[in-house]
Amino acid sequence: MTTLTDPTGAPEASSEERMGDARARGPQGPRARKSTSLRRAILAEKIAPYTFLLPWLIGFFVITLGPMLYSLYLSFTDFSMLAPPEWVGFDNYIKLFTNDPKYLDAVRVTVVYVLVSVPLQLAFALLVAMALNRGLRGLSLYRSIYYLPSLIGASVAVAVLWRQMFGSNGLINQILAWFGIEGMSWIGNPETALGTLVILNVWTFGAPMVIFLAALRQVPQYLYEAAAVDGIGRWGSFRHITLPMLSPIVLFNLVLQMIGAFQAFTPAFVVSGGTGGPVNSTLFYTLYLYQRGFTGFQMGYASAMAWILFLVIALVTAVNFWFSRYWVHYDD
Amino acid sequence: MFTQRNPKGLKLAAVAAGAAMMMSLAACSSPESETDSDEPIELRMAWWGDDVRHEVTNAALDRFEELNPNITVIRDFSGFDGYLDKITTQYTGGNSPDVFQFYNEVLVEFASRGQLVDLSENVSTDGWPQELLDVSTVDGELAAMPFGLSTQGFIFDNTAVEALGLTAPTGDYSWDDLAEFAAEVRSASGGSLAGVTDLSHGYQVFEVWAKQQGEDFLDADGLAFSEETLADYWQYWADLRESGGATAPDITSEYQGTPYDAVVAGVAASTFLFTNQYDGVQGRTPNVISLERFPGEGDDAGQYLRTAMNLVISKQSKHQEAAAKLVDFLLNDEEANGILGLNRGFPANANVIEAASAGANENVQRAIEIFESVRENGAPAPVPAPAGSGTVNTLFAEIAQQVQFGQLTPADAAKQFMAQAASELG
Amino acid sequence: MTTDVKFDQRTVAMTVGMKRSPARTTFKHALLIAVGLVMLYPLIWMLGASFKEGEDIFSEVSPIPNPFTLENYARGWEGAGVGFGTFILNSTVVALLSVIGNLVACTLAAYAFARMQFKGKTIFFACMMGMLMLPHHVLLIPQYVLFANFGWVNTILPLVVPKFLAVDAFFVFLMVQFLRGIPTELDQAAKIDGAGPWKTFFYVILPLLKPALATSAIFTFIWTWNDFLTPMIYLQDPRNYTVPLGLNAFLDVSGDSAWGAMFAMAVVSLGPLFGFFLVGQKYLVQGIATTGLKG
Repeated sequence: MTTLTDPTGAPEASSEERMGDARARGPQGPRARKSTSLRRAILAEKIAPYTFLLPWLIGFFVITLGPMLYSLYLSFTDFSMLAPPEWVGFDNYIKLFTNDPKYLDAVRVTVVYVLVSVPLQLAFALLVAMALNRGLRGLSLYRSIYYLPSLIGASVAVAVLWRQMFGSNGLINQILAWFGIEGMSWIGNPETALGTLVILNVWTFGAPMVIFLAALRQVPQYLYEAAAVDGIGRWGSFRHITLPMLSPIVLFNLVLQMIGAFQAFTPAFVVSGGTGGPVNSTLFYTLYLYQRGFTGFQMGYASAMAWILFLVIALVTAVNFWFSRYWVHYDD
Repeated sequence: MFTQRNPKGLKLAAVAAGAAMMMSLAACSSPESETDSDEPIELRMAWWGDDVRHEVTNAALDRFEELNPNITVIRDFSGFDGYLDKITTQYTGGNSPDVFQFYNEVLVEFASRGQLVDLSENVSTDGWPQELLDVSTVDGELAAMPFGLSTQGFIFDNTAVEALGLTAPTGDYSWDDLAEFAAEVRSASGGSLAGVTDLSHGYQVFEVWAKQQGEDFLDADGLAFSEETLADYWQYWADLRESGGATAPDITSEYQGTPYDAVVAGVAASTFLFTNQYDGVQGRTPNVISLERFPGEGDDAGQYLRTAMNLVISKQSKHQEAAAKLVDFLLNDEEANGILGLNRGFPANANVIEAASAGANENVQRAIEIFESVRENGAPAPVPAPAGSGTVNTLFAEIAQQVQFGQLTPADAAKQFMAQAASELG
Repeated sequence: MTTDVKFDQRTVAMTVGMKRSPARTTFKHALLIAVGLVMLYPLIWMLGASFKEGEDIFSEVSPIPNPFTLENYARGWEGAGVGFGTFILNSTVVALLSVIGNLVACTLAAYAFARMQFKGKTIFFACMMGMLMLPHHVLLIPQYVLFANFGWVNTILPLVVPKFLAVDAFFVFLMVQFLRGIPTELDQAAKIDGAGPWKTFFYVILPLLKPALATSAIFTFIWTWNDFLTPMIYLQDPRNYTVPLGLNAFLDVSGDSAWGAMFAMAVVSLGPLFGFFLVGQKYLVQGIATTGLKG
């Protein structure tokens, strides 16, 4: 059973293990030698988790926690990066919410992006993964083709390619022209520019698709067989077998794609040339953060923005996990 | 047995260690540069550019190493994206390059915080026009020296224009001439070709307009123009959008950072660019693109010799004398300039111009013509933009875009800009 | 929950009542190909552009090069004097090391989180998730200072060592979720047979994690390969540059950009990426065949 306090769902210590403890503490004597080795075994078992975790522990405490705390400190300062930070207390945070209309624009744009592009991308990824899972001929080829866009997703070349697709002279408009429809500059118009970035996110659905594929492979076949024997059709087996068995992975993809979408930077940066334009319609949160921090030499302000985002993402993720108890099915 | 104490103890120790290391961040002061004897010295130089620039610069550096056998130069070259982030980040780690290429807009951010060396002490300025040195003097110190000059120009797609039975402006022409021409192009092409790209969001274009009114864009105290000048400027473009001469707003924003791409793509017949860029732009299209002066007639043309990029020495450099030698070589040595050519623009030092111009192709020759004519009767270059100007430039483009999409009138927009920009700079 | 009957996919498909008429299959293929082409068009365009003369790349809309030229590849391969082959080699080294680091460190950590009990587990798990949630731009400067203090600047150490320390929380979380799909009965069976946590990990769990490991390997390789900002600030000598930096070195907004050469090299660098993907996806396939749910 999943609980909020233990999202990893690792098994509780069994009663045998607890009894083993008592045995280990038993009286010395003829049993002494045996109990020492038993003790050692139990000690080994208690230490084992930490040895498994050792790389992560070092990674977290040495190279992550320090920088994280330092950036938290910076959020209360005015820091141009070229001079020592100056303490300003909560000024940065206050300014964000009371005196920065561009900030609110960035929040709005990002929220829309998350709410629209993530479900779309996941639905598409799941659809394609299922289509490709059916023992189709040429499966590897299709899988590779659909993954290819994700290989190039985060590079400079994408900006140019996107203009070739959605620009005033781009492919989309050419296709529309065949049907006699006059297209416009999709990336130049504030009403549609964000839409092109949503499509870009969906276009690079390769990662969640591959993960879904791997997960689909792990669904035991005998369940489908049993369903067939019971006369349950395709839709039924999808609803009652595939989705529940896949639900831990759906949760995974959902949580991580949302975290990723909140932090999305490169698509907006390359397609809008770092401006978040036109008229701030593609001003992603982290893009504005970057503008303030690096272009504006206000790293303290940018750090405050980062920590607010952190809190929001943490909240959203916690909510996701909390709701997951209603629809995620774990085998253990 | 692992107890609860250990993980927490580890935590505290790590935080303390981290904090201690972070304190060292604040100490950005550099050690005194030693007297550079004949001991082997390693310098690092950073620049941005395309592969042609990398080639010529590397060749020049090879020559420098030949002439100075005890100095090795590590070449840190890259494209333009992320360059500023890289330099800034390296500064915070005490790890900035000894010598690097830099652009005007951020000069003051670094110089006013004492991160650049005063070049006048060790680099010869013989042959340099004083006003070019003034342009990069911050707080009385020569923080940078121009590494390539350029000037404002305008390009016209002659092939497309002549196909419509029109002729593009040449020589001296006014803004009104341009407006007329643009509207003609739009109607002669049946609406498919714009006469000029909408340039209302370009602060670099507005700067010349302001100079033509006897004002300036930014000076050491902040905004150096009147609200009226700005409103007029944005009104001019609003009128041009209405007459159809200028590109529609969504097209404009599609090509926002690189308006010359709109000409290359055959979407507009003319636009603004810097003379440095002319050769590259012509190379990207088979059409004949002509380079002309900026609109605005007569002697108060408003254009000026603009620093395309600078060369600076970091205060963190441990070999400031050797670094100065390198800067001196690149800027003042005839042979070096012969190798570097005009890739970065015109050299500022009058003595090396000839060496640099040798072997220029005809596009570059044309750029030189425009350049020389501006040198003769152009306006003085502006002083370095004050700290915070980066945000002002972005604001300019944003508000202009709102006007383009009809969300603000030019007059209201000008008012809004003046107020917001002042608060950013204040 | 045991079975050792293996049904192949086609049997299952037929049993579950999916009729496979040839027409339906053809339609399916046609649809997949059509959608595939649309998906690939930007890449097709880029491929075409890499063979176009400089003046045609942006002025001609059609992706078909006319005239056709190889000069972009020649110029691109020179890699601004360093040689693009060097960039590819550097990227390969960094990416492979990162893959090894991630697979080792993240799997170990995930096993601890998913299968073991220890003090502080919940807090550490929350910390791990927290690592995912802070935008990396603000960690950039503090971490740079840290690594500069270690003296690791201008080496690939800041790029690779963190992978061996399970800093990529994405993969820890991925493994945790995959582990939760593996029944605990297997662990308990192993324990009854006298296996300790290490043996259970190596002989029982790890083989079952192949799809997850393959997925992690593929993603690590590709994301490390495409990473631009981190190598940008740590690598100072172009001879150490990775591919994204190499591609970037062709582009200069203020002057002329060698777009053709850049596109050509972008196409070339897709090669190793695609190759790695093809190799890795073989292991993705080994799902049920090795689930080995034997009694």
